[in-house]
Amino acid sequence: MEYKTSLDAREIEPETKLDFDLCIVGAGAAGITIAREFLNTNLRVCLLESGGLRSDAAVNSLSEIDDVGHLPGTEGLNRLRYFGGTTNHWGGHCVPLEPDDFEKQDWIAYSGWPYDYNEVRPYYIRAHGVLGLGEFDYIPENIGSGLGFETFPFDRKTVATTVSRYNRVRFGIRYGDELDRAKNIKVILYSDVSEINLADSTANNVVKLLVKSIAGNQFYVAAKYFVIATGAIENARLLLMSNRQRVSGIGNHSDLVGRFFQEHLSYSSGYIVPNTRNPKLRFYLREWPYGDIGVRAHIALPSDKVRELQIPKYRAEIGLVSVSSAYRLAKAIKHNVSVGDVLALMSDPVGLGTVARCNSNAPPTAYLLINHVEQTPNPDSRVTLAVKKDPLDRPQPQLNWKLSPLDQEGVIRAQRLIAHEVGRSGFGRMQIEMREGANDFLEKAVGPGHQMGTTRMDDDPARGVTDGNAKVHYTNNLHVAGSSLFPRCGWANPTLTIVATSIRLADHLKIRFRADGV
Amino acid sequence: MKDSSFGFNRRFFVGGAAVVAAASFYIAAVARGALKACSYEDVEVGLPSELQSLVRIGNSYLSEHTKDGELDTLEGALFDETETRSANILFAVQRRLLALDRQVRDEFARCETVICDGWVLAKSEARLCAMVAARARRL
Repeated sequence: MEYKTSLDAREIEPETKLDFDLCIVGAGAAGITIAREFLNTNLRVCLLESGGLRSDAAVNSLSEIDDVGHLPGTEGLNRLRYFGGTTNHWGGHCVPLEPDDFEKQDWIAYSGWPYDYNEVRPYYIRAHGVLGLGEFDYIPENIGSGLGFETFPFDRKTVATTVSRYNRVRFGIRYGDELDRAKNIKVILYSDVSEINLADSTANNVVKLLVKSIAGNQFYVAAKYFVIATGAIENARLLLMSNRQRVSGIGNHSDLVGRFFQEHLSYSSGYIVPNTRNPKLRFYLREWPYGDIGVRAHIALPSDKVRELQIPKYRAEIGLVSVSSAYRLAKAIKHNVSVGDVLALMSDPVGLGTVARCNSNAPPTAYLLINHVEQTPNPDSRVTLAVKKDPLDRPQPQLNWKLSPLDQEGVIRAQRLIAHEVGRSGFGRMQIEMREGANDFLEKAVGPGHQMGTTRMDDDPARGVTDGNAKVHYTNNLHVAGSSLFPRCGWANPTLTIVATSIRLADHLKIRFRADGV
Repeated sequence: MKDSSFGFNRRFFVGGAAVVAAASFYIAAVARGALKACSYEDVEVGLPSELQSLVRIGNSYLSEHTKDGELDTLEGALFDETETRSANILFAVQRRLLALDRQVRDEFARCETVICDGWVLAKSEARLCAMVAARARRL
């Protein structure tokens, strides 16, 4: 794709001031979604993108993080700094948050969104259109039975099956031409916002952004409204480094910007061995074609069970054991002890292993349990500004990702529950490799690249960076988009919710523009 | 994944396999008319790998969960002398397997489980593995 009407920040005259109605910073899933909501309106919209149309080593060097927390050097590596953002390589995994993810729950500190599931549900449906996901239907029976797949024979009040939809929409490729054709939208590539400027140090109006490019020039973008949509790490960094007029940074009145950094926690810690050789559970093992998209089942603890156990939200992906593990298991489960085997046993009682016979040559089956769970909001898990500078002389973000004992306890209790249900249902047995009483999970759980929570929403400025409309507290016209808004993340992969909340923000901005008479 | 292989009975799993294994030890002892004294390590090397795994689970249970005298009680319940000396030992074992399957499921439902060698097992089946381990030591 070659952009015909975009600007290249590297070629903009230094100290130029560009003027728009709406300025969106970041051309990933959130930024492009919001820009599209203003397609062909009478509003002048600019979309600032740090990178170009494809990956660029010089630009990528701006993404370096001073990573000092949990598993240093592992987090934030998945971010892509070019048009389309991280959607350029995401897995397309879409599933909505559950209704109770929006509720305040006593055992999860800082839980509760400023609005409920019913508020965001219409936006989920619209997000399905953006992501090409088809009908808003996540009921496993509706989808799995249509494909002829069976589900685990578990009591669904104890261990539930969930379904996710998959569509790897590359936002830059899918929507680039559309944005290029729109006369009211200007994409400016290679533009790195380095500071948010208020009218003065006492004002709440943001008037312009200082933008730099890797070529060394800098210019300004003015607008009536601003949205920063650069991901959870960069959103926090930008607010924090805008500290000339407000010493602690914009939105940081309660020292909350950058705090509550959350990830989903991924950890393979055990496996389920069925007592039948070929359970028809392929629905869980990979994506299956479903119209134009893919679908795949997972297991999760239902909300009532999570409430009963007072743990974070828990989901597990199911994988087949590796070849080497399968080989060991093949040795292990080749015996099918039946009455006939017992009879044979009578003639050679010690030789159980030699008299029992395998009744089938089918490959053995064991299911790896890949935990994919919620990290609870933790104020000590945070993004701050590092001493180190990036090539544009801006402080790098310092990430101190921290997990909490409740995160681990939730997985331990969830696994026990699943193991009990596996045994109770007669399906098989489960082995857990994570040692209870040790800190295996806290030491080894990794993040799949779902950075969230650093500009959390709460209508109370003492508890949130942004309000329920994603507006930064104590500003009039600065908004945030993306997963940094999430006060709590549940187990759902974030992109569908990012797109839904971005559409909601766009609707809010349209109301604001109308109220302003624009 | 660590090497956790053991003889899965695909219908009765650990408990079933352990009952059969325990029975096999019992029958072996009767048939041979003598107990062979040897160390646990010697026995494990000489056993089929599936029994080795049961023994490993059993030893895990013995070292971490068992109480004095518990195994004697269990053995008495599992292998009634009169029953196992009769010609119907085949059916006795089968009956035990069916009863054990019900008991094990009930224990899972009541969360009466232990972790042995990483496996989450109903207490009854873990105890059976302990019996297998104990008998292996005596063979």
